[in-house]
Amino acid sequence: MVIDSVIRKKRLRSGLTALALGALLVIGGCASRPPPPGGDLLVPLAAPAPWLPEPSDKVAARAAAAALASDAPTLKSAVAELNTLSDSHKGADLDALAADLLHSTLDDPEAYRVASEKLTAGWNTDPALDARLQMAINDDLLALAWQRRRDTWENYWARTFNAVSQPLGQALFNGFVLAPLQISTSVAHYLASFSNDEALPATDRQALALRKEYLARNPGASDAAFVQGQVAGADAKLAKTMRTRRLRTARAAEKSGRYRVAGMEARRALFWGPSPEAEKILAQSKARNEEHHRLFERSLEAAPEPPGGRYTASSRQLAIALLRSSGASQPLDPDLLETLEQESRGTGYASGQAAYVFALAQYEAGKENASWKTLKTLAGQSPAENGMVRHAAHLIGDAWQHPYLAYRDARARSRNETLRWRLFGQYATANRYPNLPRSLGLLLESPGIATALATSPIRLIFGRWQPDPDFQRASAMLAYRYLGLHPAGQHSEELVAWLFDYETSRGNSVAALRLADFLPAMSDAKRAELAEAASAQQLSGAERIKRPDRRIQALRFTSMEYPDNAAGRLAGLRVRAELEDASPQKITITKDFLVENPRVAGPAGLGLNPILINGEVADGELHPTGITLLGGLTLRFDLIGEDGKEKSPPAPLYKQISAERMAQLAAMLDETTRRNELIDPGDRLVPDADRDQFLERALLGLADRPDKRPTAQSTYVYQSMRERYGIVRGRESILPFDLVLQGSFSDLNLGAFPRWRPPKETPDIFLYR
Amino acid sequence: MTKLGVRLGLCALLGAAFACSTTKTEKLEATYGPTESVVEVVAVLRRHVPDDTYRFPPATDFTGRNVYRSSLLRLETIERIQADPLRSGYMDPVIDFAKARALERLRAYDLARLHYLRAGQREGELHDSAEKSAAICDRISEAVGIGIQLENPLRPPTDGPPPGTDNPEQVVAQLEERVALLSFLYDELEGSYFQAVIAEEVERADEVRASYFVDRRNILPDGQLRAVAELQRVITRHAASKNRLKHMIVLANLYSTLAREYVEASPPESLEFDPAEFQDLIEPAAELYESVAAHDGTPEKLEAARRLEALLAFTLQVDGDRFSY
Repeated sequence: MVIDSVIRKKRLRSGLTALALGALLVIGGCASRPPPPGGDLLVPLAAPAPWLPEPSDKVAARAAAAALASDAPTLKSAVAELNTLSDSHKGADLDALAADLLHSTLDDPEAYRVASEKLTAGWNTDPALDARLQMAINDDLLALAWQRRRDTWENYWARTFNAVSQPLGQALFNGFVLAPLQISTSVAHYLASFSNDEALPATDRQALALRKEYLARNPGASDAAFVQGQVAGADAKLAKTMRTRRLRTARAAEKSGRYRVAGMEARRALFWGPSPEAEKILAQSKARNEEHHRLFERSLEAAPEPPGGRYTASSRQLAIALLRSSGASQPLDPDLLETLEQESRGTGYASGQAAYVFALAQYEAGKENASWKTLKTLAGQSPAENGMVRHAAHLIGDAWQHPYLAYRDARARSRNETLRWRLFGQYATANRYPNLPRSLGLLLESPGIATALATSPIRLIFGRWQPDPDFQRASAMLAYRYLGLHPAGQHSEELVAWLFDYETSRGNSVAALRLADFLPAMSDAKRAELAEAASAQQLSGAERIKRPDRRIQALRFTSMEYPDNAAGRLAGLRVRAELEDASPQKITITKDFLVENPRVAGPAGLGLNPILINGEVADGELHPTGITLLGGLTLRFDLIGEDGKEKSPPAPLYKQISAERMAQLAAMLDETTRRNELIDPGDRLVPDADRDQFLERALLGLADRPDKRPTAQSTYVYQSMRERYGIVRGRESILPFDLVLQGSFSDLNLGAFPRWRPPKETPDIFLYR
Repeated sequence: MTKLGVRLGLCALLGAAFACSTTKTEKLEATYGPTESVVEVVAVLRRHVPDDTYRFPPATDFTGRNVYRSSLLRLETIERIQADPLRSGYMDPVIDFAKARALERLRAYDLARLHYLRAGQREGELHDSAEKSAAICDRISEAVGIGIQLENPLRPPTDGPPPGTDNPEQVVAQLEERVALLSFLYDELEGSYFQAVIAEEVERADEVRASYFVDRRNILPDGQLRAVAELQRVITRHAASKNRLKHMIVLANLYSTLAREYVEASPPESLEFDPAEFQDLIEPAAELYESVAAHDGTPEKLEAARRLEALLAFTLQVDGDRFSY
């Protein structure tokens, strides 16, 4: 019984102990605190294993040496020997690599491409080698030229296909009631679209450049004569294209009265070959310019004294009074002004002079409006009767002399433009067929214009949230010009108020705040709100600056300019944080990247302790931000914080690594990313010169001397494919067309139809436009 | 009757069209007609005498010419064509004074001084003003003559460089003396239009100084840095000038030239090429061009936009792994 009791007590005790231990384990298991990693962040670098070359290594080395020495027989024998060898060092791709080495000694690029194509046949080639060979195979100038030609034809085909499929798809939804109208409109637009085509489109220009390069590289090729013929044909089309472009510009310049430009453009057109029209424009331009020059010269002449004389005592007095008052803009004598005012009401030469001088006196006395009114009356007279009319008209029409009138005109124009844009939408600003006669273009667009006009109320309601084109820029420029010329002018207040509204409407709070200082009535609350918005705008601008020194400078300026605002205070804190966290480099390798590329994290790369990326928070885990290379040999390991949540800010740990480990990491990082890029075009390594420079220095063991120049800093982030593209990566459809479901508020159209995708443009297409 | 009506209508239309065309031509001829009198020129010139030509572009006349230049030319033509009525010389002070006012805006201070002196030779209403203005022109001319001038590249070469140009300290000291004299005068002439003229000369002195260091940047120690600093100094000191955008373009051009010279000396494919150094040259050039290209209503906008395009095209020649902008 006693024994039983003892046993029971022991069992109970052991049960309690087990429970306590179990509870501890559970608590330990659930603990969010990572164990202090200490020196466990990295595993020690493995000592290099003893390595003796095997026969395959020796033969491969002999083959490489023979290739460099252009010793073809030795190379051939070495490659043949390599095929017969089999040892533990011989990789699966060594045979293919050796064959490629042999091919690389071929002088004929075409032969090398054929050999490479044979090498890629089959299933066992390494994807990276396969991709590299494929690039060489594709680097065929004539084949590329043919592809570009095919692009041209595919563009035409896509346009034709879409011109039919879209109206049919739309007609489906309205029961084919509007089908005849929609199809005929589409066909008309299709035909009109050819007016925008040039004799040699950009893709054909690419083909032309490629063929020219082929001829330059292979002048003795068997097909050189044929290619030469193609080049000659395309060259003629290129000349036609360029001539048409220049002529179009010349025509437009001539139409708008810019004869010098028209002449220059006509000369440019003639550079591309003879053109009667260009000759005609050039001749007209010359004639107009000569006429203009004649008028210019004439304007400098002086008229002989008329009978009876021009110069009287009063005219001399007037001239002297004008010159005497010019030193410090002294006002004219009041009696003289009275006389001038009386004289200015008449007509003829003397009254013109009087009116001009009287307007000048009014202007200098600050009576702007009255002055311009006087000048306007004068400008309304005939220039034949009064020589001062031209001067008055010039002052009124010159945007530097009368910026207020120019501003009013610009405002009226912008109001009209806004109204047109509201009523006609895109049709107000764009002309799809500039090469067709205006009336024909309007006729083609008339159904669209009518629909746009009918649906303008809908756009007014639903398009409210879309940004309008800025039609007011010219008005704003003229308003600022007025304020610069006349800070205390009669219209200053009006223009400051308008500019304030304009800047506010386009979200430029900094400018609005500057203008607010000149506005008389503004409540403190509104001003404070504006200052807050201005500081936020400045802060966001500062944060967009990539260079760290400039960013800090801009942030510091923001904090000093707006010390009482939230954004200003935040800018101050950012400056502090930037300075505290400053480092020569900020190259980040995310945790996901390390998981996706274990070679980088592994012992041949960084040598990261695997427990840091095993997904177990309990044994310590990297934060998703991963590891940052801070320059020199310093790394920052961002670990998941004590709360165990990935979304919380990371807990940083800084560690110096050896130059050897840094070199190993740099080599593996570079190798892995470039290999990934070859295998998967979507895994593109974005160019970053500073990153590459840092890795190059690290590879050479020079990373211990950090480059502290701000322009040497890289902020590149190595991300996994999942981080770049999400869980499901969008793939390009294997179909040559997209299935489109269309619904438009602007023209109330519904439709479902296939739309043929035009071929993708090559990245260098902009060099051929 | 109907046919006759149609014919008459057509004739009337043709007549109206011809009349419109003739009227337009006549109006154009009248607008560009010869100057009628001295007073016309003086009135037009007088309106623009107080203009602040340091901050704003000089005004133009109805033909689009610089108003000071066209006024001067017109006054000279009047003197020639209307020699008989003006022979008595009663208008001479007016003409001389007006020409002097125009000349001082064309940087011809010596000539302006001479014309003022001629205008002041006769006792009359313009005597005092003419003498005062002559003295000012004399002081400006004296100040402007100190130190080096901008070199005309098309002038035939002389025996050697102007004396003192080998010594940068001496050049700077002379130009500083010029600016100091002009600044004294500027303060003395508070409220006068001459302040704009003097400010233009101070700006020119700073431009000359910057140009000196830009021209000799390959010879002087730290020449590249000094050239950049001098151009930056011009921009900072003359932020209110009408030429501020031009100054910015000049600095951007220097950065662009340096970038090209850098690439020539250290080709991007070579081991000497340093991406950070190259970026240090490209970035400010691009930012300056971009900043100027954002200014509406100025011809500099077009120049800067095209130069930026050219600069970016130049950077395309540098591999992506050596430069990424």
